[in-house]
Amino acid sequence: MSVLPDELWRRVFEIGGFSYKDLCCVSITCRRFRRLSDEDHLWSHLLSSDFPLVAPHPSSSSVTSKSLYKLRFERDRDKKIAAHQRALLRKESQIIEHLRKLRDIESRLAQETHKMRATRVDLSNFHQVRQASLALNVWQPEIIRGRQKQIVEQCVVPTESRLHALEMELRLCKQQISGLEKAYKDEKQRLGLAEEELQSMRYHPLRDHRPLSSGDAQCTSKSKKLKRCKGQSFACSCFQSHSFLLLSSPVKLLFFCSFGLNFDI
Amino acid sequence: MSRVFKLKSSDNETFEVEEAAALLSETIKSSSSTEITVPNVKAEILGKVVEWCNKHAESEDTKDQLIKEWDAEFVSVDQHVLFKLITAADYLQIKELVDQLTQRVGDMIKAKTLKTVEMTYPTFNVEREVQEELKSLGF
Repeated sequence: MSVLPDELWRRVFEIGGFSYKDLCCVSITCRRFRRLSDEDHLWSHLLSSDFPLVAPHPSSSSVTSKSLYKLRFERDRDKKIAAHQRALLRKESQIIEHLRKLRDIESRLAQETHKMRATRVDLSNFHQVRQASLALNVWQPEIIRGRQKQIVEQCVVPTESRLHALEMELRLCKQQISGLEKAYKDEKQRLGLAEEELQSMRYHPLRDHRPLSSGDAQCTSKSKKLKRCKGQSFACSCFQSHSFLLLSSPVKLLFFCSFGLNFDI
Repeated sequence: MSRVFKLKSSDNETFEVEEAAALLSETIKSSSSTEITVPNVKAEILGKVVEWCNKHAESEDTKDQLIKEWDAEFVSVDQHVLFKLITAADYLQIKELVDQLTQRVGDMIKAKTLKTVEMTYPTFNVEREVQEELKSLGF
């Protein structure tokens, strides 16, 4: 471990342009690097570059730059999580709204279809009546004549005008139905889009936003995470996890945790 | 008449360096003699350092694109060579070379995840650290 002196490693960490993730990765490789990467000047630099807008902490000398960074980082992350949750909820309620509209359209469609069928039946009845009355003008065998007379007499409404009205109604129904069907399609499309959006908003394979609590809770959550992460590539877990302390999960880290060594800052 | 400096490596090889190149090194600059022995640095490494100095002495403008490319090539060496170069450049106090080399180390570290860092840099001996820690805890 003494290939390069501390001073040169410090240089490496300073010059290298390391992000908080890189510094954390480095800090868990060995104690020496832990010591070197914990140094204040590195973290103050990160503080000012990553959280420049945050008002400077009323400086208490007991607070290290790294712990301050961690604090701000967690606060920021929690804010982001909350915002994301809100967005998810909004999207979900949007979807519910779409579904409601769809149901509404469906019921109206059913109504119109029913009306259309009834109108059709009426129409065909009236056609029969008209046929019968026309037929009466022509000579026919008595039995048939009798039946036709019956049909005509049963009809109490003026045939022609009624027929006309019914045909109008039918046309209207058909128009309504096609309008509703289009509306249904459109709404369905919007629903599909919203659902896709929700899916992509939800998709984040390794993000784990359980708030970091100290001590044992951390250990168990880390070991659970270890099991989950085992199948996945390290590059992935290192750079996608937002957990400040657990940046990658070699088995060795489990050693550290389970024996109560924590990286409490 | 520019002076010629003689740099001697740990395995007794001598490199002759022109004044302009040699003065890039603070150590040489503040040295009273023109013959400097560089301890712990083998000829192979010293040779490379001299090469860098020569290249940078002859070209004034270090922001030149060609120089940058040459530098990039220069530092893309194997890790072992890299560390040795850093040590040599550090001894000779050639600030810019040290900066370039350490930048390279930083880049290499950043490019890897923890596991591969452990595998590539055998000096990161986590296992041993863990053992020590366990021992100190009485296990």
